[in-house]
Amino acid sequence: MAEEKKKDAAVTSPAEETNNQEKAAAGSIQVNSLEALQERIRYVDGLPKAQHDDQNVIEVSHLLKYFPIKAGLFSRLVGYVRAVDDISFNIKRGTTMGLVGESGCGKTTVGKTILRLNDKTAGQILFNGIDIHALPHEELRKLRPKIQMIFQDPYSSLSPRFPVNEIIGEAVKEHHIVPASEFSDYIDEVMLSCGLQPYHKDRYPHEFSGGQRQRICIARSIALKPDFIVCDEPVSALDVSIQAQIINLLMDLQNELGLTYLFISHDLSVVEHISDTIGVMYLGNLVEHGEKKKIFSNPLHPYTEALFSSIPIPDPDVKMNRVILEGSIPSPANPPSGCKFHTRCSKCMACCSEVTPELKEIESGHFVACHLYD
Amino acid sequence: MYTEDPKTNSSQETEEEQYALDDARRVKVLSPSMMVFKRFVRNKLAIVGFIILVIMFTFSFIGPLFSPYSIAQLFTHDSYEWKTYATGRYNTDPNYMIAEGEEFPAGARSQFLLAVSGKTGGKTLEIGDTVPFEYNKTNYTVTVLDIRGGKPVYSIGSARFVASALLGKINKIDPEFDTPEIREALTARAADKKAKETTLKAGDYTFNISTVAKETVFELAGEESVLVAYDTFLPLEKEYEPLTKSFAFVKKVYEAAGNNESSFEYDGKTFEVQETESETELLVGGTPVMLVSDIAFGTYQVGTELSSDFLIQTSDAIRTNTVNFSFVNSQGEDTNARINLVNGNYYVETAQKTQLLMVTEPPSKEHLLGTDLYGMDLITRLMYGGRVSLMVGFVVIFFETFLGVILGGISGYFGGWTDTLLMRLVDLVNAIPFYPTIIIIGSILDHLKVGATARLFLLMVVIGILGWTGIARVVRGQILSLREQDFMVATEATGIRTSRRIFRHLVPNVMPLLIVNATMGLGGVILLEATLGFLGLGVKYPMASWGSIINQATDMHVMTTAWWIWIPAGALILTTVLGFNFVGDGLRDAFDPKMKR
Repeated sequence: MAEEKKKDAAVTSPAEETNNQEKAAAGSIQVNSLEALQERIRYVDGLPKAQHDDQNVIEVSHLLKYFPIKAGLFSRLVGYVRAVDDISFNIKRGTTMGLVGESGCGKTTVGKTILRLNDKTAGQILFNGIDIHALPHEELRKLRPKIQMIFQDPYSSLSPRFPVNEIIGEAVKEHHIVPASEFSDYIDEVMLSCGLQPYHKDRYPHEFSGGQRQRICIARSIALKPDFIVCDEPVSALDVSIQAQIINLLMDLQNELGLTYLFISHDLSVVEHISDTIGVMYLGNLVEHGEKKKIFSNPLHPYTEALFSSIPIPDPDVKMNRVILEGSIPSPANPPSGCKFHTRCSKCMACCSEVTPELKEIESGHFVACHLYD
Repeated sequence: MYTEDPKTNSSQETEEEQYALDDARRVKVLSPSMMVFKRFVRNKLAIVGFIILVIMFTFSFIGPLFSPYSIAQLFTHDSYEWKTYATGRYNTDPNYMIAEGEEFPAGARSQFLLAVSGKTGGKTLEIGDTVPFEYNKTNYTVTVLDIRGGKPVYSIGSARFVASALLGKINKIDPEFDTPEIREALTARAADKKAKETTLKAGDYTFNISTVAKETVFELAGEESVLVAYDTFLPLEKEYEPLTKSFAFVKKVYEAAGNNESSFEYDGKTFEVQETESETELLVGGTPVMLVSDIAFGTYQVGTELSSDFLIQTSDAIRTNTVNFSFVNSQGEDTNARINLVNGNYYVETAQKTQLLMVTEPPSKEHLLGTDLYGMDLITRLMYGGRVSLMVGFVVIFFETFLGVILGGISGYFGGWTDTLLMRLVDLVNAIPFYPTIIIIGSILDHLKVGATARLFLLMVVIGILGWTGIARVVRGQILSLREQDFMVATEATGIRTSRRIFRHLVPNVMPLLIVNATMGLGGVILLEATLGFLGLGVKYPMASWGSIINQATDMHVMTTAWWIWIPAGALILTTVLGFNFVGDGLRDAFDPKMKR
């Protein structure tokens, strides 16, 4: 720790400090020191935020989520895990945005931070023009039904001590979604629309299969008449046939109720099936973002290419041209400098390790952050 | 589609009949608590434990209602025992009876004793003999009034100085006697060197004359103011008791006895005197009213009144060396008595009714489990003791759980500094040595003389304060893991209120653990209470607990001969703790979702 301090001191010597600040100002942070990161948090927080556009349900601008690392006897702050590192995107009403990336790249953190299940570190999240992270707690609680989440694990996301109708209906009662007299009929209706039978009402989660449980989770969400649902890998715990049912159910509900989804997954075929736009994340950054067709037909970022090459093609005659990524994802607590992907990139150039690439619109509605397209 | 109200039973039954064999609606729905109950009921050992507990509770809480005895009721039985009633003794020391307003100091007494024993020079004194002695410049004259049973009765009178003369001349004279007539007579006597008379009559007085170192001293014989005898005056009739202390009366009695008179008069009454060798009976109108005897009596117990018959009969018995005799006591009852001679003291013993505690009585119809070391009914004590033991168990566990849930819950739910602080507090409390603390507190309570009930409650509080840490840790761990579960995140995401999240989602999930912990802990607390009771630190008389009942078996005699005191109490503790453990095990298995039995 003492050594690190020395290093920090060396890095932030007066001569270099101005230099550092300039670099930070340019958005090309090179140093993972505590001071530099805190400087970056301040810098990102100060960036101009996007204005609300009525056709967007969710507008994320310059979202930053750093988890503090504490150590020592007095839990001193020694660093940050850079889970989400300045990402911006919008989701249009009634569309689905797929968020893909390796495990640990910060997809779920984005989802949870949009719901304010985590506090943001910097940036802004607008839901229908309302800054979610600026709301007082009681107002946030009242807004909660409008933004829902479907969890990855249908086993742990249902309280084992409640029957289904209470799981679905608890928040409905809490927020007075329907009058008390219509409550029972409403729950029946919701269950039917999610492919559950009303006689399942009095059963407990442990009596259901995984797919049915996920339907209960979906029913719990849509019973609150939400505008926007974060689907956090809702099908990754299920087998393929059930996956299709759940995905189709989600799409049906979207058509029926005009829902907007943020669909987080690492399964590209599922994302291709459900999404209108796609965001590709790597180590807390959005490396590519755009309409589904454009990205699938023309992946620009080397990481996206590598990801897409891993999609299995159900034809034994096709020779798969896979791009194998070397090594594993670096630690988000100490990510590489410059382009975070440069340590594993097959097309790495000299500038990649020094300058952080910015998200640029290469063709209309297709953004990429890579020095190849500078 | 199934839309019928499932609450109406009849319609449900008919509907069920219509279901196909593979219809999912045929599957009976069980709530988690119902499943726990079912699994518990299937566990035979748990049911045995449960039955044991039901029996124990019935025994302890309902049993006392049917017990004819109360908790600290002592049982006694009547018995006759020879007990000393009174003591008698021959007087060997003289009794001094001093006239009112007179003095006879201790120095004079010893001079008197020297005079009557030493100066007579072996010659036995006879009635009418006089012996002079001097003490503190006062001359005394001792006269023998009577000889009773070989022992004389002395009357002592002090002389009054009148005048002294030296060489035939009066040099000192009491002014009261300084009349020419007396002066002349005294001078004449002093000058007459040949005169041998020791008395001189002058005027109305008779003077005693003595010569001390050539000085002739004239004295006036004084009033007799002291009587010395080896007798005691025992009133046979109560009204004559004051007379026994009257100097004049006593002197009259001795004068009459000395002169062998058969009667005398005193205060307008005629007393007949009947003298035997060693005692004198005084009668008034033929009724014996007083006994003058050389035997002195003393009562042995508070409130004993010695009847006249007792005095007469006992005196006879002592004189005749009779061991067994009988007398009529002051209540008019015939009483058998016997005499026991120890060191010259005659102990008169009578058979007296005594209440004896029924101590360590073996089981009988009246006392199904016998009586304990203090004469209390054991089965009743066991019932009330069960109340204390079970109540201590429940109160302590409730208190421990309450503290543990609050502190562990706060620790787990809020985490961070609160968690660290509370867990260090847990470490601190765990580091307090239990038994030394309890022993010290026990002796402090003894010193402060705290009542039995207050002591019991203090004990429970102390055990609770020292014991909440285990539950706090368990609850903290459980809440820490529950807090991170998706369903808790889901309640946040659906905007459920915090209070509802804690009480509807967290608490019910901690409950099973708590129930199991509390049930298993109950047995432990009961054992602990029994241990404290056994060590004498638990509840105190008149309360009972199973442990404090066993405490009596620390006495080797009880341990080896009175099995009914400690075996039932021990068996009760054993079975109750076993019952709690069985039920606890059963609940743990029943709550465990992996147990699919």
